[in-house]
Amino acid sequence: MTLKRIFKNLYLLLFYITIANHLFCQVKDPKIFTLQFLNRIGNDTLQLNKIYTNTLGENFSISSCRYYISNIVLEDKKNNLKEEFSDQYFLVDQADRASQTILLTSSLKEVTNIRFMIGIDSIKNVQGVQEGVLDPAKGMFWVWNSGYIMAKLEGNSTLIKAPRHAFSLHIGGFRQGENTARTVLLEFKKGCDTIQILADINHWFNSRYKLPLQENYFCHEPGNLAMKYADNYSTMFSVPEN
Amino acid sequence: MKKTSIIFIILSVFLAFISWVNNQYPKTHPLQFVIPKGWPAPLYDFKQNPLTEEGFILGRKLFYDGRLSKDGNFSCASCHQQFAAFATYDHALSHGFSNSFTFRNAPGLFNLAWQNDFMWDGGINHLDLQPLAPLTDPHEMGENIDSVLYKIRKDTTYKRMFADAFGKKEINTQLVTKALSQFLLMLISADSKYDRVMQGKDSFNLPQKLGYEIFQKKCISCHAPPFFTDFSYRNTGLSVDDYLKDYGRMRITHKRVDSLKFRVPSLRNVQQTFPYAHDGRFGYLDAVLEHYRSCVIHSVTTDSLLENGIPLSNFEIGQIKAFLYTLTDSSFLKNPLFSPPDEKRMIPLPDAQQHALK
Repeated sequence: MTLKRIFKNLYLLLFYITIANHLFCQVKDPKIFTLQFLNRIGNDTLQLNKIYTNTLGENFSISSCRYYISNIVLEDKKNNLKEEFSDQYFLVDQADRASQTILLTSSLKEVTNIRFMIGIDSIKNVQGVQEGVLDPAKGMFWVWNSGYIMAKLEGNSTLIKAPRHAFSLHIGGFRQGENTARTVLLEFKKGCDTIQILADINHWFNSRYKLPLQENYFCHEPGNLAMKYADNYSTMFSVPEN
Repeated sequence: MKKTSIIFIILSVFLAFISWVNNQYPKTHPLQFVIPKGWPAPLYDFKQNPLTEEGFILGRKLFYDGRLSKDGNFSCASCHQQFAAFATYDHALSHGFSNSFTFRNAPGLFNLAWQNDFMWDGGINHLDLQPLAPLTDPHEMGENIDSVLYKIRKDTTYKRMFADAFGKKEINTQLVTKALSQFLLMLISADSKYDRVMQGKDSFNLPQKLGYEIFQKKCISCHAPPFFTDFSYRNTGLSVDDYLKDYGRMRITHKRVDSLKFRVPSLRNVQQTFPYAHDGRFGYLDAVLEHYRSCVIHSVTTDSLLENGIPLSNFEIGQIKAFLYTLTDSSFLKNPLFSPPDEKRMIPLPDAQQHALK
């Protein structure tokens, strides 16, 4: 038997595998769908440690801004199709450019709207130590009262009467009555492959509730204040006119 | 032509099978988790973290390694000593990083596979998560997770042990805590005199027998066998320490009904786990029993079972103590498997692993 023959057989085998693959697996045409999160203050792109004024007239700067995005659902309403990305978790971090872009492999031809959770579902809060962006080492987990910090905003305001004039908002809580995971729905006028999602940080302080930084500069546990903040920031997302 | 292609196909199928078998059975040695007779099924999900000899040995090394703390002085074992059933012997509060005291009394560690929530207030909802709390507490080990991972990743012994235990080159928070859990899960205490008596292999002497009868009448509704706790949270009518201001479970649930409630501690090995109560305020069993007899403070959340305290005569207290001492499991307290690893033994000989954990 010569080497040539072996190769001939090998090609034959590969050929069969390819045929079988086509017969048994429906290969769809996957597409990359890109989500870009852009944090803003009003109409300005957020820059860390730059001084802004919120809609309550308070000056402030932000040193850290991070939030989890999970349970993304892409929908094509025209064709009544949807695709769920239930076990994918993303941590959007203002200090890490790459984290602001989420790539999803989708077989939908057109995406008309998107649903996602800002935060982590209750199930992942009770399953022990996770990996990747859910690793407690990311600093988005409370170790003394188990649970994820769904969103974190830290910074300073000269109006705050606390050490370093600092505010520190760690929003979390997943149990019934304390849940801070919020679902966001956004609709697009026309379908496209890349969607920019604007997040106006001003909504943290003034949206459903008025939460002046001077009075609410510290939130480090689940409870009413955390839920108010969650309600507020869940309204911060929008898509630019497309 | 036909012959060769048949041979080729058989060969490739055979090779595929070999690699499949290899993947199915990695080169770890499974460790048997033996449920003591008559005990319920454990609550820990072993499917997510199958016990292996390699994982256990790694977890033990981590448990006894001071480098998990900021200054290298405080291993898990510095507050969880085997001879004290993995509580801190003779310390109301344990010593932590930078000459500080912890806020609560270190509980004994055993039978953790049957426990769902951890800490005196039940704030931690998974055994794998538990080590992260003392690790990062500034009054305990004072470290941060990234820094611990950095130290572990630099150590060649750990690199090898992690690869052996988990078959990956990666070392991350999840694997560190899973390894620690593997060690902790094996800490089963079920071989006290009480257990032997229940199995008909031993018998109580008279004070122990009388104590057992009193215990069944007056203590068992909270300290229920086989764990000698019902894992509930109760206010036993202790006064609030005006410095610690510890309101227990309410800190976690933010509910007033949970004010001053703490986990019912297991009474297994109670002889070794003194001082008692969440802040270690009782140095001796007599002090605990005296509290129940005459010092229970009545408030809205005080447990209804303690409405009248627990009426006990001096004689009864003596008998109850005699019974409680039968819960000491000396084979657990001295089991060399749970002892600090001898560095010589840490390099397993070809056949050492086969015998080490039997």
